[in-house]
Amino acid sequence: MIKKSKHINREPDTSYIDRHAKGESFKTPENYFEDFSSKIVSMTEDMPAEPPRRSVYQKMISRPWTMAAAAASIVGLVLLSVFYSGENPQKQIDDQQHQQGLVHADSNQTEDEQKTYDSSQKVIAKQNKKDTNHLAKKEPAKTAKHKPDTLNTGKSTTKEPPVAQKTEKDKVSDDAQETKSNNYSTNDSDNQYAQTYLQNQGNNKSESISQQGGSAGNTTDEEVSIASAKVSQELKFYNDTCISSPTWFDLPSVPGKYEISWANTKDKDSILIDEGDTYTAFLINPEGDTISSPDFDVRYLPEPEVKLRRQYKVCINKNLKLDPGFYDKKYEFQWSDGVESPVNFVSEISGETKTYTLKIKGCKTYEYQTIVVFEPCKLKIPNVITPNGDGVNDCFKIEGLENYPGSKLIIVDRKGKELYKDENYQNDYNGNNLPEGSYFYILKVNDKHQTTKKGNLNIIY
Amino acid sequence: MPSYSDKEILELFRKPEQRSKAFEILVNKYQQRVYWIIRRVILNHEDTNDVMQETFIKIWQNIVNFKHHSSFFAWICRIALNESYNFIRRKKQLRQLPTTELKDEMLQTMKDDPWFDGDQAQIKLQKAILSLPQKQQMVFNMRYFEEISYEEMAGILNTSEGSLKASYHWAVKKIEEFLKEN
Repeated sequence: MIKKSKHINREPDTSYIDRHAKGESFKTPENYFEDFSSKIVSMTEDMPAEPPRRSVYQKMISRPWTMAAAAASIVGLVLLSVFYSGENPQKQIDDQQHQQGLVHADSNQTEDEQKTYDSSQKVIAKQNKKDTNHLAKKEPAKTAKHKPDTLNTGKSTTKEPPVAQKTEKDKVSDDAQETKSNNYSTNDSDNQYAQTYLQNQGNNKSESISQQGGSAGNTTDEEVSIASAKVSQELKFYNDTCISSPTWFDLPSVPGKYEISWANTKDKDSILIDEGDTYTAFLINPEGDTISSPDFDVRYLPEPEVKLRRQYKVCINKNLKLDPGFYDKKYEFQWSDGVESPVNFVSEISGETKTYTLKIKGCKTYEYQTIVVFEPCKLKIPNVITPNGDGVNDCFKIEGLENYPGSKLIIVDRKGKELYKDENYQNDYNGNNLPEGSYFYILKVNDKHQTTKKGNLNIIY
Repeated sequence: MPSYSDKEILELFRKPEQRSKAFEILVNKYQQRVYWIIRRVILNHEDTNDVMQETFIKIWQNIVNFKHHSSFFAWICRIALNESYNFIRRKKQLRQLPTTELKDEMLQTMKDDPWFDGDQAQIKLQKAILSLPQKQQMVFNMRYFEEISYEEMAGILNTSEGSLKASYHWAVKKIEEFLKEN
């Protein structure tokens, strides 16, 4: 044991103790630390190290600027594609001459996107919510005619033909449409991506289809339109549903030769939704083309877990933090005293009992009530201490100070010299070997007004 | 294993796939210091081992909540000390023992511990330390045995350095008196 010098740091002389502490009397088993570290690491491996992580989408929702950034990048992409195709009008025509291949490529691409850029897709879907709702409400063919503005909203596919070029190309498009194969007509759908593309082919699309659709042999465009409109109609009712517990969602029925399935799930008929998100169903026609993806938003707002006690006791003049321990921004908070944030600080200047009610609005409104008893807490400050170790008045114990943690105590002598200072006094001052005599205390009580109390303190042994 | 700074360890912890690795580094870096802080309070090895486990599991579960208000080591120490005194409190409640008897029992378990081979003088010293109030006990153990600086201790115990020096001074005085008396 190192003997510590008396003068450095004014460390007390421990030489007497050192004689009792020669050598280390505590031992550990051999290899204890090696064993311990491997054991504890394997123990914690399967243990969650933090509260459940939020998805990228939720993170973006809580940071509005990321949404703006996403929107900006989409607008950028659209502008870029306008610029790009503006330079290559010939490419458009070429593309249309390879209609079938392109539509397939297009839908493949959207599928890939759903897998790869799942989160950004959700954002796009969210932004387009209103537009897609409109899409869902109307028959797709008609939508194509009357809602050209939907074209402006963010489709992340760069293959999307430009809006500005559309009118100039109408004629070209119509010509191109005349050359399309029968198979093409089966690709007509209200699939957002395909549809947006098709809308750009020209305003006369639905008419051309009705002229040519009958000769398709397999599924006619009208049949497809009717089927997908039916699906859209039914799924529309799900949109903006708010559920407070996991709920089964059923697929709408479709005519026999079609198949319908939920996107991204193996469940055939119904899915258990327990997360707020955008959901999509695919309608598949007898040719195996995925032709319908109306999507709808579900909000999942379960009953909050609120950690408010039934009753609190607090000193008058002191702030009490009423903290439900639940802060989700998707819910609305309303305290009975008008505060609209989850956490409410309450205080009273007279002794009374008050009831506070917190209403949290999710899908339903939940109410939590708590009673707060405000009571006077007086401090009892002694004016004498006898630190002689007899267990009575050994410490400068201020009764009631435990209600005000963080209170500051300063002891000074008659000349005003500071002898002791504690920023967070714990009722443990014992005179520190000061000679008998009269001293003064200054106590800054950590209450709402930071009351200062001063007085006389006598030390007697 | 190369030595990592606290900052690097915390940085590793931010990536979920690195978390296990980061924890291993953390355990290896601090387990010895943490062990001795706990052992000085608990006195026997077996119980110390239990408290060690609880301490490191707490660290694992709460590391995401670590705020840089104090040093990382101070934060770990605070957990270790809290767990140690919680352990003693639980033991006291479970057995419904008064404080003096609990202290006697702790000394007895220490004497019976195969990982203790001190002589009478050392047992007496531990007895003296046990007679101190909790705060002085913590300060004395950390200062005298572990030689932790007052500055670091101030971070661990959230008390001013002056007050810690006073506590230490007082603890040394009391222990000396105790040793002379008995």
